[in-house]
Amino acid sequence: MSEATLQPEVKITEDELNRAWWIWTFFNLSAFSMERMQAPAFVYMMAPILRRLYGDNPEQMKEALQRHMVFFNTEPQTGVIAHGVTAALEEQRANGAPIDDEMINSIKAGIMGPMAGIGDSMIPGTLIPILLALGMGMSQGTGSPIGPIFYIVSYMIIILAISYYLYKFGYRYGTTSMRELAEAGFRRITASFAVLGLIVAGGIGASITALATPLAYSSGELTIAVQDQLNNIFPQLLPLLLTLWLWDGMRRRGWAINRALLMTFLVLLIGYLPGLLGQLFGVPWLTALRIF
Amino acid sequence: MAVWQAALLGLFCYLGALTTPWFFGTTGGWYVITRPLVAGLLTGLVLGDVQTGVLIGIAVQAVYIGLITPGGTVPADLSFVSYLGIPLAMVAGVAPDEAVGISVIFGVIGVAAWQLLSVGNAGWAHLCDRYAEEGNLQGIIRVNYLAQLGTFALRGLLPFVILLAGAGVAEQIGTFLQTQIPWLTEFLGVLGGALPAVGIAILILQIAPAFRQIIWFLIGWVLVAYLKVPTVGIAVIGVLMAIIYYRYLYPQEEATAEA
Repeated sequence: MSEATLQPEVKITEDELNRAWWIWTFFNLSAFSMERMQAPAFVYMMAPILRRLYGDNPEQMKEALQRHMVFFNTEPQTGVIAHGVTAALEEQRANGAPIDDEMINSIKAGIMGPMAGIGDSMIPGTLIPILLALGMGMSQGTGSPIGPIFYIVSYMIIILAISYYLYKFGYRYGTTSMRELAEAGFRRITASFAVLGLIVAGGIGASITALATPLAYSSGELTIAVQDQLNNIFPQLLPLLLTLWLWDGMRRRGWAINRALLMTFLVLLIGYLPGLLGQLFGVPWLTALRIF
Repeated sequence: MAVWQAALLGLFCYLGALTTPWFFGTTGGWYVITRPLVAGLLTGLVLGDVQTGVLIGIAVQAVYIGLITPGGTVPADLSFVSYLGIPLAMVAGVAPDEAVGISVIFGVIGVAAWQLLSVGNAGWAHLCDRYAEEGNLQGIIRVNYLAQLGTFALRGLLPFVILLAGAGVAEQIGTFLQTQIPWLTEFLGVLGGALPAVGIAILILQIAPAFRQIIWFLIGWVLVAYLKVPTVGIAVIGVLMAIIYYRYLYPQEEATAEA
């Protein structure tokens, strides 16, 4: 430590910082395992940074490698804020700041957990469903390639921009107030993103699920279709009930996805055979999905 | 299915796998190549029928639109859904909504492949530990590449073999179903329309652990069911509601929780 303070300040170059981000973007799950999750990728990502900081000090390098081989897991695309902070911390440490292993790892862990939550509800929970629904709407009925192409281009541009920004944000503001933010602020942000995600989930759910009853009453010349009456009172009611029933089963009775699939299969089979349930007749499936 | 077609689909399956780095990692692979919407396009290109491919892709995508993989837990294996389910459904010549039922089965089977990989890969992490003790950075970097062996075997080679062997069988089953048991194909269509409810239920469960939060989901649902608000409108309303929640409702909830 005392040696390090005497040396001139080591600084991570912009190029090394960017290279680390690219490595992470490509390799974040490449050696993923349940036991250590993203740790091998974290070390690989830190390589350009560690080489700069501890390249001529084998002892420090060894410590750094062991420090970052601990369990690490976050949402890979938005969790990079933790990587930015870690880069900043390592830089300060290399320059003699009193930062020990525990501090680095507790800050990493303090960010990776909340960011996994925010990231999951923000990216696969909100952004991806919206973009997919838009793409599906563009190609619905025609089968044109424009929808998938729209999704590919829009998702990659948006997410890479967000990820790069968060990484740089983490590096810049790294050490200042990350810890306090981790306590209360993250919870508030997560809960607010959940509101957005849930509204989108409800909207998309009402657009893409299809379930109706072909039941009809005839008296003389007059035939009354039950589904027509239902549509007047509450359109898309049957798929909503099915969705809420499945959600309740998973939430309170702990159904796994396979169990939920099986239950849907059984309920539909029991409803279909005597002619209680069917598809949305007259309205081809998914036409409800409008974009603008 | 020609050998080159099976090989290309196997390659796409590998490139899109959760643990493959080559095309922008998770971003370009799992979240792009492996989305059924995109897989429908790619499979359509390989099998020479883009229109059918995209339509099947859309139908299958609806089931998995809200799939989240928290902490590496894969609730349904999209790799096999997309690159076994969609191609085999296309070869079998079934309608898009009937293809959904077929793909879902591969999603259930594929989870085993993922579990095998994510448990087996722990060996690589232990190798990294040894390199870390030696201060061998280059060794740890190498592991990130070596770990691809398992991914390639399970996500590239295995689908290739299954597609080659299974295409003929799928074609026969498809014809048999349509000509001999038409009610079953119709039922598969009904099932295909309702299965997205499972995907949506998973999505709610992931975002909203608390019962009271379901109100937001219901708001989104009725906006579309009654008012036919389009997708972009839903997103805009969602953002506005989130801002209201952040500024006014969350502090209130906190205050009541503390009191």
